[in-house]
Amino acid sequence: MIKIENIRKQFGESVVLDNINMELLPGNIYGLVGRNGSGKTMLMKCICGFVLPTSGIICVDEKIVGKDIDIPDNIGIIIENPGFLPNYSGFKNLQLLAMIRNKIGKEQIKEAIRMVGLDPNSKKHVGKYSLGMRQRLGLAQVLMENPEIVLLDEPMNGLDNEGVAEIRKLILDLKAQGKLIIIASHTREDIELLCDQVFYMDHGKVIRIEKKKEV
Amino acid sequence: MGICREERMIAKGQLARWKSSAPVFMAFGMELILVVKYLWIYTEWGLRSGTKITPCVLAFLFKDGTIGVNLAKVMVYLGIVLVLSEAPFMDEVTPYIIVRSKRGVWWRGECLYIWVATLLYMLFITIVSILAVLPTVTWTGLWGSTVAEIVKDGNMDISHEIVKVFYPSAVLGITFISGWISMVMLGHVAYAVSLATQKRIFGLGAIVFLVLLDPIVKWLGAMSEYRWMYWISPISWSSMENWNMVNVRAPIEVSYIFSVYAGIIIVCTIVIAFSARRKQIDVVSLQ
Repeated sequence: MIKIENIRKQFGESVVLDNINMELLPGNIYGLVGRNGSGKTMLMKCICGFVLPTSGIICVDEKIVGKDIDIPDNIGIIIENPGFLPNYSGFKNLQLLAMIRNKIGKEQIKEAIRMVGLDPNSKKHVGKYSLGMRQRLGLAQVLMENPEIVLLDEPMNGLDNEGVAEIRKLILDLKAQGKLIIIASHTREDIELLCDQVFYMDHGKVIRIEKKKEV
Repeated sequence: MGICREERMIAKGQLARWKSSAPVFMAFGMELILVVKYLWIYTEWGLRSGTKITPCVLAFLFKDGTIGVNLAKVMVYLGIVLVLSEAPFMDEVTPYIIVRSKRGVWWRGECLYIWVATLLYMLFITIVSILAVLPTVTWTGLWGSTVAEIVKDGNMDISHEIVKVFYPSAVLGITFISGWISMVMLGHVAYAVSLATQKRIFGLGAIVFLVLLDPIVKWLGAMSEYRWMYWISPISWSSMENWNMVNVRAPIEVSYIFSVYAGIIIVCTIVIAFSARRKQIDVVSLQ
């Protein structure tokens, strides 16, 4: 569970998040909707501990981010554009990341790459990937270690219609596994089809909450 | 699991970036040319006069240079500045590393990377220096007739005192260790300053300043009123001719050198640890 209480983030005079309150439960998909600069990405960065809020508390599984833990355990993220080493294959890139925690082996990495519609045996360097391929690899990077919390910033970016349908199905499968998923998206259709609850943001505030399904 | 396994994986991931790193390629390429060009004069001398030279010529590269003269040492250090120019070693992959490693392992892994990267660089310089003189090398363990001939003329990239007192292998080992530790210090300074100021250019500027301070201090002179500047010029300490255990008139004590190197590395590590805890993970804003 994620509890966000009175979160405020300020850079000098500029307030980028203002009085954000949320309670997010596992087994649900939450949407963050708003135009560029509304605070969606900054909120995601605060949740995963990349940015420390000016005031307020974020609790992930009853641990305060920035106090009890610096980065929540068991979290998978895509924030902004997924970055990889350009002179290595997709598999090698994920392998270098997976080595850090050493929780999974080659087969699980390959399975994650297959799940997003890429070829795990391809030697093609990531530097030559299209935007859609990089996005898919970014999703594989999120999924490969089976995290309990999934943060996706514009996950359909660069994908064709077929890719969008595949990733939507993937996200719904993750929800069925009981994961807590937060998606930031501009696309109304993604929000309508996927989200159980939607937070509309503007100028760093939550201006409206819509419950699509019982959370 | 192994000791510091996660930190080792962070360092390994950083080394993997060398494959596509233009500064690293430039540094190693540049040093290959410079070291061979600089030391070839001894090989030419040996081929011409039939004399031999020890393979332990690394110390020749670390002799203090001054403004306009003997700047091999500056060029060696500018190579490692290029390698370390990526400090604080953050790019678009960093968020995906930190989410797995957490901040503590991340910064410790980057510090380990500094130790490993500088070691590899010093090994490269050492090997190239040996290869540069290989056509006229002697394996007797002594300095060789080339050094004996040239040192008589006084035009030598190594001081007469060092040649008199030390075996070449000892000088190689000492120069390697002091050169390596000085580069580790530079790496930690670059990392600490760039992380604390959140500006890559400040970290780079700090280490370029330290590298260029050495020839300036040499130019001002060990026997002059500016002798005290040797005490605040860490790069000067990697030249054995500045050690008073080699030459009693030299300005620096060995115990001072290594304790201050250790002190600087420890202080920088503390700054890194503190800065990394609060650092906003936002690669786009890092300049």
